[in-house]
Amino acid sequence: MAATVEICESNGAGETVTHNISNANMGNTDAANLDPVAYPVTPGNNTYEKFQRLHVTNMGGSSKIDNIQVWRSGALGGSATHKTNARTTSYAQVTYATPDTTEAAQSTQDMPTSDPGAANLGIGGSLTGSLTSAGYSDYLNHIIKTNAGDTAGSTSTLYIQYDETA
Amino acid sequence: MINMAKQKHICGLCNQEFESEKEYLEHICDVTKHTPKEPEHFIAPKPQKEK
Repeated sequence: MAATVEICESNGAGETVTHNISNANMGNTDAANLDPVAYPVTPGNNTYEKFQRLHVTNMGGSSKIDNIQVWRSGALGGSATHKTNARTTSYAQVTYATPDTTEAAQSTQDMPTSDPGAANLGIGGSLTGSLTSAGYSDYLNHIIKTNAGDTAGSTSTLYIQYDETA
Repeated sequence: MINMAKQKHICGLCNQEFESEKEYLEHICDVTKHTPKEPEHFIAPKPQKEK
């Protein structure tokens, strides 16, 4: 049996963890599974940042989960940028804080638009970290920053890939 | 600002709220009839046909 893995999102001042989210929609509110039509971002503003984690709920007989790689496919509207803490070198984990429209200090990187080919999200603060029992990855912090001339609305896909050792 | 308040946990499928992760992991989801520790929890049930 394979490991059982879900993606969780944290929101709010007291950190409400929504498990097994169905999407990573970004908009003008701090909420999981948000409706971007109901909470659109006016060009020139930022989305609310996201704090998302990979969560192993059951190892299912596997011995290790590691090598988490995160990237996005699909273009953003206009000259918008997608910033994240995910990075393959000089990695530092992000601490959860109430999400707002400013990214974490560590989120200086552009979200990769293809498989980075190496871990860019850590476990236990390290890119070489691993889970050998149920637990979480580090937080993936990301935000979309738009410009006034951007086209409102875009659709892209966020990929979160990991290795599982039997 | 770092949060010091107690975490809450919500099942993204049945929207039940829990005071601890342990409670979340052990609940039987109203939607899937399985716990989040079971792979069946992550397989969306087929919608029932309306009669």
